[in-house]
Parts: sequence; structure tokens; C-alpha cells
Amino acid sequence: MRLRNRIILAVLTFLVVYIFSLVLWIQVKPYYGYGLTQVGARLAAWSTGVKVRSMGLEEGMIPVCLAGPVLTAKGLGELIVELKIDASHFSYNVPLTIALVAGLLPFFRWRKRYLAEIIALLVFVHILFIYLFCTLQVFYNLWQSDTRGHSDFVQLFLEFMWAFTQNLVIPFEPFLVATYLWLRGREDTRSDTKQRFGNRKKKGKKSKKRR
Amino acid sequence: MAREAPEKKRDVLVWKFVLTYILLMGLFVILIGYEPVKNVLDINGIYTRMIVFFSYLALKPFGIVQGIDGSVIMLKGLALDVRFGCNGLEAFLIYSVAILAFPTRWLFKALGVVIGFIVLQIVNILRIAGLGLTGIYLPQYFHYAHIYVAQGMMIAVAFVLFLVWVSYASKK
Repeated sequence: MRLRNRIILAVLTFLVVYIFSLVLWIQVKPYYGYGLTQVGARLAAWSTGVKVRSMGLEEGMIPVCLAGPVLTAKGLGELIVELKIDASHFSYNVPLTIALVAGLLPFFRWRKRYLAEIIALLVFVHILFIYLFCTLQVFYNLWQSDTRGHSDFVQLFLEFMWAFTQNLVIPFEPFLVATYLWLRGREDTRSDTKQRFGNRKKKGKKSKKRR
Repeated sequence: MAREAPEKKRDVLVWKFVLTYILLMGLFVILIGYEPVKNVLDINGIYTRMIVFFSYLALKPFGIVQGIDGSVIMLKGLALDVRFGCNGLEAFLIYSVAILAFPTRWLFKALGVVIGFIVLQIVNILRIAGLGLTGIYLPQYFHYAHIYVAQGMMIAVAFVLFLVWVSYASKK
């Protein structure tokens, strides 16, 4: 297929898939968010020494209640942190990611391994978002309640990771995923061309020798 | 065995790009968000004010703009707060970092960054102006236009620009 036709096909595929995946994702998003919150919030609870008291799904939002005993300057108390997680905050770019990947299909075909890698990466980043959000909220609440054992280093690390994930990973995951797949496709195409070209050269040399 | 070696080499190349990309992004986050650096030079603040001013100029001919105040563009019955995330700085960062991480000559990298900056700024100013017009004339669609169209547009443009630059740099 000519390059111009491929570009037109890519643009059309991108637009059609974007509209279709957007409509579909709006329906699926709350359940996806709920599933990931089960993992992310539990990991956050485990690493901060609290427990998940309740979790639900209300009008697309996921209310989470984290609770646990804490030792403050005044004595033993109970920390209760109530959070509302909106799946849109970390997954609004999924339709665009799918559309950009689909838009690259006229140019490349990827191995299943690469697709599995980016799906795993996306899920990991979304879980990381939930984990960092919950952990930071628990951390701030522990700090406010004058709990002993506050660490500036941990706070700095968590805030940096949160800023990085929220501002520079989540908004640009379509770019990262598409660039990664494009690089993979480009390298594969190059090596295939080299191999074919190399084989032809070898065959050519052999036939010359026979003559 | 013979096929495994180039495959490993390719893996190393791709992962080298990805790691350089992440490291540079981390560095830029510190440059933009770290308070001591911000106290000396507030890159995000300067950038936002520049974008707000040009967006104000783009919206002026429509007669709906009342003025600007810091990062806010005041329209008739609507105020647009251009924050980090809407000012196009991240789109430019992500695009520039991808270019800087890509192995090619520095001259091409500089050219890609400068041209990309101009194109992304023009697109971003048009995007903010478009959002302002949507907010005034089609307010019921503003949320969808903001979340699902305007944000995606910047990423798609940055990605296409990057691909165009790579094909140019590879040919040279």
C-alpha cells in the first residue's frame, strides 16, 4: 500500500476507534476503576499499617474507608480516612491510547509480547496512581493527628512520585504507549528488512559462484 | 542463537530510550515543581502567563473576552483558569524529552525542539480559544470537549510531530 493511503487509513482508523472506544469506555470505566482500587487501596493500607474498612461503587465513584489504630502524642487512637476515587482521574486517556495504537496498525504488526507489555504497564500505572493517592492521604492524616514517626524523606519521595505520576505519566500515557509500540514496530521492520536483504545478497553470491 | 543476539540488541536500544526518557522527565519535574528552583525561576508561571496572553489575543476578535488576571482568562459569564496541565507545557516537555532521548545528531534535536515548540504553542492557543468559544456558545458540551477532545488533541499532535521529526532525522 502507498504511504499516502496508509496515512489516510491510519487517520480514519484513529477517528473511528476513538469514538467507539470512548463510548465503550464510559460504560466500562467504573468497574475497571473498582477492580483496580481493590488492589491499589489494599496495597496502600498494607504499606501504611491500616485496613480497608469499606469500599463500594456509587455513581461512578469508588468510596474507600481506610482505618487503623495509631499511636499519637496523646495516646492510642483510631485513624479513619474516607476517600472518594474517581476512575476518570487516572483512566480518561484509555480511549485515546487505544485509538492511537489502532492508528498505527496500517504501519506495523506487533508481537503479542509487546501488546502484553503495554497492557501490563498501563494497569501498573493506574494501580500506582491509586496506591500513591491513598498512601499520601493516610500519610497527611497521620501527620495532622500528630502521630509519631513522621519522615520527611518518605514524604518527599511520595510527593515526588505522586507529582510525577499525576502530571507526567497519566496525562501522557497515550504518547508513551504509542511511542513505545512505534519504536518496537520500527526496530522489527528494520531487522526484517535487513534479514531479507541479507538473504538476497547471500543467494546472489551463491548463484554467482555456481556460474 | 544467531537471531537472539540482534533481538537483544534491539531490546537494549528500546529500553535505553525508555529509561533516558523517564530520567529526563524526572529532571524536568524537579525543574518545574521543586520549590527552591521555583523560587529562583518559575518556569511554569512564566509559561502560563505567556499562553494566557496569546490566548487572550486569539479570543479578542470574538468580543467575548473581558480581561486576564494571572492564569485566568475572564470571558463573558465564564472564567478559564489555565493551569499546569492546560498550558501545554507538559505536551512540549513530553515531546522534547522524546526528541532528546532519541539517538541522532544534536542539530536535528535542536531543530525538532524549536519547531515543535512553535507548532505546539499555536495548537495550544487555538485549543484554549476553541474551549473558550465552546464554553460561551455550547456550554453543555464544554466538559466533554475539555476532557475528551482538547486534552487528547495535544497528545495526538505531539505524537504526530514526533513521528514526522523522527522520519526526517532518520532520512538525514
